[in-house]
Amino acid sequence: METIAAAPPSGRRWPGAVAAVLMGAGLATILWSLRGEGLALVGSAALWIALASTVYGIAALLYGLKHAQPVWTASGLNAALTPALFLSVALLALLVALVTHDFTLVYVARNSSLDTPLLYRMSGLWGGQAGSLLFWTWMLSAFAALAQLRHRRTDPVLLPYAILVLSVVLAFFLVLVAVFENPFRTFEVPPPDGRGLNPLLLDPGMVMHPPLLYLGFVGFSVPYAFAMAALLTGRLDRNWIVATRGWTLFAWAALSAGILAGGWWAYRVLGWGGYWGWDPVENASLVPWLLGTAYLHSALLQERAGIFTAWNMVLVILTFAMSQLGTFLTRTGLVASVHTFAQSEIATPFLVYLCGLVGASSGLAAWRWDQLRDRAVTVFVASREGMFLFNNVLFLGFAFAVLLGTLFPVLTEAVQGVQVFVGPPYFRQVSGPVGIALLTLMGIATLLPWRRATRKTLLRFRFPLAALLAAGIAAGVLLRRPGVVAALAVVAFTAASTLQEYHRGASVQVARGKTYLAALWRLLQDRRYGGYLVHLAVLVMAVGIVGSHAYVREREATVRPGEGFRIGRYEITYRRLGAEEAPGVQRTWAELEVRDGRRTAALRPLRVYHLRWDQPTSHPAILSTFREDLYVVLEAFEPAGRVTLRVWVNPMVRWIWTGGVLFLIGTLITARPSRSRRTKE
Amino acid sequence: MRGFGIVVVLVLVLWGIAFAEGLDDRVREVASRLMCPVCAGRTVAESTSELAAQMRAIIREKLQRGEPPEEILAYFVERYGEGILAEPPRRGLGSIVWIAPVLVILGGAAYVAVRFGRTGTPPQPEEPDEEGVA
Repeated sequence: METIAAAPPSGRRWPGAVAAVLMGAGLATILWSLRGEGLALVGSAALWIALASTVYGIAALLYGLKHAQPVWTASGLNAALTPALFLSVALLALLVALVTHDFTLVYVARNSSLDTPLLYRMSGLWGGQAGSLLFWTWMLSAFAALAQLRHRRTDPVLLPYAILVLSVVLAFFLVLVAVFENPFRTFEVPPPDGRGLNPLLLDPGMVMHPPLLYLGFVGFSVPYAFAMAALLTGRLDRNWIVATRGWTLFAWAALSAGILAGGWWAYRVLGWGGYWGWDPVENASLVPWLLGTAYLHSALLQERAGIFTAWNMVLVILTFAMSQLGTFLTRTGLVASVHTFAQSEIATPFLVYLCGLVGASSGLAAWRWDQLRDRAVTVFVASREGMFLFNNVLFLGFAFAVLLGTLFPVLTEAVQGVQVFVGPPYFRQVSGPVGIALLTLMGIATLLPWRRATRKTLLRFRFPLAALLAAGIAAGVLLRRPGVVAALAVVAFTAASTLQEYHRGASVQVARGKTYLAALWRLLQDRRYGGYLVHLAVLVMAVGIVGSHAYVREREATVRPGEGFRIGRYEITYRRLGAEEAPGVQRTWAELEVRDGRRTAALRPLRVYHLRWDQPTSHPAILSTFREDLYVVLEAFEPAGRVTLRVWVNPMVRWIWTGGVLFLIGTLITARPSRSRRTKE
Repeated sequence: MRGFGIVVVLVLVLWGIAFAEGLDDRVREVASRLMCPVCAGRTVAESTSELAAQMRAIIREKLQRGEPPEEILAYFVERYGEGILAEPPRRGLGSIVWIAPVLVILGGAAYVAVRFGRTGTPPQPEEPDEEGVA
């Protein structure tokens, strides 16, 4: 984090980084020596200084830009760099307090205890509300500083306006952190020990999940700020899209990774047999992801052909607003949910902020609407552009359905006084057909050329259609369920059309004298084919999602030692109960022997009772293969040794994690600046 | 009397063994259509709470007695109100969630088709697609 605050804009980065690390270490030592009231004071002071410099920056930028005073603009820009510095100090102070068990701080006492391991003391930084808001705000300030260093030379006109927008957002969050949810509040008499982190959060998945989500949520603020800058300056060409492409991809990748990490955590820790429960907080991260995906695709059109400026503006505003709503839902518990570990009074300010944000952005867009509308759009439905449009409609509709379903209990309560609940079955019924339609479009768009399809294009459909038929018939004979058959047929179609695209690309290069493998290797590093790799990864995940949803088997069994039962092809025998005591926790596990015909495996579903929290957590034992996961939860046990086990057979869940890794690799390739694109321009 | 009890238990156990696997999946089916009343956001099938476990036991018992799933759902609605259904009813206020997204998607698709479907620029030669590879 120190490198961000101190790295010089260009050139010799190493000395700067080393100096920053040394400064950080020195600062940490000073903070450590100040533990207690002193540290809290430094932290709070840093927050207020950050707020003051942000407010000054906004004023200076406003004045400088309005009256064309470059000196003031430059001063405002410099001032906008300081919050990152001071928030780094505040963050470091909280980190030092957490690591050194400084229970003078209310936050530290609530989110860690003497027996919390170091890793989880550090992740306690985002384990509670005040800390995670500070973390969020710090990240925003760091992004604003980075954006300034990165775009100072390349986008001198847009940058001050973008920084102005980012500073306004930052100011709001600083007020929240400094006034409403200050993590540096202290006890008059510090308790001897803290309460500890919520036991559900003691998992590596939960160490990664929140920061990744926040990177995504916060990351979209930079494209949004540049879009607003384009509106404010009236420079509505494609420059703002090109400038923020890297940020968009980065935010989108982080959000994707965060959602995946959340699913992985839920699967391994919550112990209900699944990885995605359509929980309000999960939905709150899915909605910006869906909109961001739509934006990513339509931004490509603006970047390529300069079309759909207005539409991109709408999408980027929506994506950012939904990211903010995501933060809001996560942090305020507006919709009651298992994720919301903290309740608070920040709901009202947040709601006002959100309405102001959407209102101001839409107002700006309306003000420039005449300029935004594309003069002569010539798009054919039967072209790749046309498919992108339908893709946008579907993503938007999907996001709308998820949002509506998530907020529906609140809406009906406001209107009718009754909460009408919208649960997983609704979301499943919506996402099935929309998902299949999106996968189909993905395949068709890959086959269609830009601009306009011709009769010749139809020839490209031969192989994918054959794949569709073959997979459809095979699946129809074997599986019967119409939804599953349709999904698998479409996956085959799109996989075939994507692979065909790789083949076509490789063939072009083979004709130029490369070997086929070398050509493929070259394609794998290409930006566009990186996108296709993401598509293939989505298909792999789709297979996993369909399989794990359609063919779940479940069994609940109460058994004595020595007894056994069957589920699917597994023969499970319960041997004995094991138990041990550790500080603060009691661990109990069942020793199971699992036979699936050929192999034998030992499984140990564990149940941990957390004395301090008076709460148990389940740690399912999972026997995972590409075919299926055997997922065993120890639901209850009696001292005499009788146990109740809940067992699931979840087909193909591993495909989801594998596809997820492939997905992130593909995204990284896509984020590389493409050589060919640069030579073309 | 005792003998009778043993026979009943034996029959139940045998019956249970014969149908257990199918029954577990049917319990899951019904339970996934009910929300757990004490843990917002989870269905009874997924919840790990005690109440949900009891509700699953009731569902199991009723299924064993041969009650159709719809009647079992009605039984829970009577006790907990309509809010317990995981799927909003397709009438009244609940119908909005079902209709609105369909309208958005169909409306959007229709708009795209009408707005761009007939735009008549002269057909242009297909752009070479390989520019990304060069």
